[in-house]
Amino acid sequence: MESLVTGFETMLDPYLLLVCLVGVIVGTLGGLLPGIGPVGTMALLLPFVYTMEPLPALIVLTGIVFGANYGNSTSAILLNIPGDPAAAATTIDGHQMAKNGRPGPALSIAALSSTMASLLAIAGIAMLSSVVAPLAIDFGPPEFFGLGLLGLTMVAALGTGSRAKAFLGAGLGLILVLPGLDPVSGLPRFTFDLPELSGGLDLVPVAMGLFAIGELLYNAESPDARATVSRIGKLLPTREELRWSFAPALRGSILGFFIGVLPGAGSAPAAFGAYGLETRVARRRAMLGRGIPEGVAAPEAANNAAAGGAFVPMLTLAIPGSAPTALILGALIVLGARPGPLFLSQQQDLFWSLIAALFIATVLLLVLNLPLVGVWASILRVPYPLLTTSLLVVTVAGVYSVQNSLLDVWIALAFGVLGYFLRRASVPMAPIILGFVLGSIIENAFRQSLLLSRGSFDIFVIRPGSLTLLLVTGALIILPPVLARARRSLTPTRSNLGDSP
Amino acid sequence: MSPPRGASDETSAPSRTDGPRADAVLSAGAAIIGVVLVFRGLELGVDPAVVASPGLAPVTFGSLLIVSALVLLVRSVQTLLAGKATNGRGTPRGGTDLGHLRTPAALLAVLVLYVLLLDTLGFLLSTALFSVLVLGMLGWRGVRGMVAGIVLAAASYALFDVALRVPLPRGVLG
Repeated sequence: MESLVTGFETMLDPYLLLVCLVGVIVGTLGGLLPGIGPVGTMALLLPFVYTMEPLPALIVLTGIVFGANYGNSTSAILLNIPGDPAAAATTIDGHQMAKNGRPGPALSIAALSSTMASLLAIAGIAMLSSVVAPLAIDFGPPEFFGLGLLGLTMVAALGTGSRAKAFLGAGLGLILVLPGLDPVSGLPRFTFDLPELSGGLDLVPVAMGLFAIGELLYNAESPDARATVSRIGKLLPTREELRWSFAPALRGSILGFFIGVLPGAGSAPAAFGAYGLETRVARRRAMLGRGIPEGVAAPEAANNAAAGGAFVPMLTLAIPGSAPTALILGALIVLGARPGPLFLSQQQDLFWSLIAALFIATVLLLVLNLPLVGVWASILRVPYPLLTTSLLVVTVAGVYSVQNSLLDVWIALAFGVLGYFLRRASVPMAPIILGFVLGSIIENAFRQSLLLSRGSFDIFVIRPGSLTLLLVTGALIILPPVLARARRSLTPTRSNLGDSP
Repeated sequence: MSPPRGASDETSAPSRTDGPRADAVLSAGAAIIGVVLVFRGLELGVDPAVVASPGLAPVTFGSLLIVSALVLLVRSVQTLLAGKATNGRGTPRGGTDLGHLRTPAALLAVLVLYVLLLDTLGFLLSTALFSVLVLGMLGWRGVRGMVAGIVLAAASYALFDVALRVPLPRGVLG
């Protein structure tokens, strides 16, 4: 408790409050604009974040994550276009409420549910991190190798869409850590005789290329596919609507948080999971899909809680649970902060200041979002050509500004082209960025393990923690296709039911 | 429900996608990269007993890439064969229509030109030129596009160079 009070005292610094405010505003904007999302917004701001101390950097990045989760619901409700996949489930009832003439109450319910979920998630981060971190203190390199592999496998295995493509994305992410000096021998590897590459590929050009340039090129295919924004009108929900929203928001918060804690699960599965739960347990489940508050409250609470839950493995194990936390982890490592099992004990001030910052960000978001909802909605009317051109200019200038290097801009362009084609091929981006961030953790842990064992691979199986993690990883790779095949073979077909024509 | 337009985050399934033929090309390309990494890694030296083996990571990561690429390759070939078996009915688009590439390709070409001119012309002039070209390409032509492009260049210069003190290339404006 004392640490938390110290955290709040730290956060009273006007500079940190300003950074927090900037983070949530920029995050809301990024979440609001379809196709940008939290990761794109963070990628755009990374060049500025790199000039900051770890605490303000952490505050601005977490502010973006929380802000984006508020903003994405606005476009989902008003345009039927989610700002990012985490808000896709919100479109079902949220946009229907808007079409039914209640866009304001839908936005308010989304904001209130998000606030409730964020506050519960912050409490969850504080409590669960205190439990997980001491358990992980005894972890050595083999366990971290297992954790890294598990995190990467989970993001590939648990996402929606093609698992094969997700694993391919993870593989592509892993190989991005290869250019640069070998971390043990110091010998150059895949540097193509470019001295600038001896430090390896930097997170900024890779992330901005994949997420910002790739997305903008992809969106350029159909620049005029824009809907009109509904008029908002009355903002506040009725008492009845609030009453219907409370239990789904609570259920969504709890479910979302625990899904978020799983490395790789992410906010979108949490939101759809919560919506799915409501289709089974909600009292008015038969009306879901026709525009009822339960269908807004549950997924909105879940995606916010999941975004919070993903901080637990990132802070305590240095294993990012999602693409946004992968970027935060990457930035923190560059800035010299070391998330991991010792983070809570060795960097207590940073941890508790972060908890306080998350709380302040949540309050700021509620205060900003409800009264300013009309302003946010008007931003959705920014013409597409102007938006795309501005974002491209900011991306190029941002990448250049990190090291005043044109090579970085060329690298970002190359990754932009790669990101465009990977999007067209439906290869998810999250495993790539997670592979990139986790790749060096996995490589270092792997080689340190072999150093400890003098070259014997037995070290990965004789330690119970490492063995367990590797077994779970193996099960995640092998079991889903085996179970799917078994299910298909067990499904009765027409012919064996005897009703074939 | 339809997948989100332009969604790029962790679980997105883009709405405009290429078919199994493109998947086969992608996986074959990834497999080739994996093979190159493995060979290069073997040249660098792989011996688990020698901790400083710089080839260990390229061989391991390259092998993982090959395996995941081969899985996708097999799946896409299976889909292609299944499509042929049903005379192409219900098969996804094969990616032969390249019309969708026009705007992204043009945008990329202007981006390349922008970066090429960045050092020579400087940030302000090259950004103005780039913005006018991109705005025109996206439908804002004539005076509206010119004014917006110049204002955008000036505003971004003010933001980065003046407000954030990021030293941007000055070029001919020295």
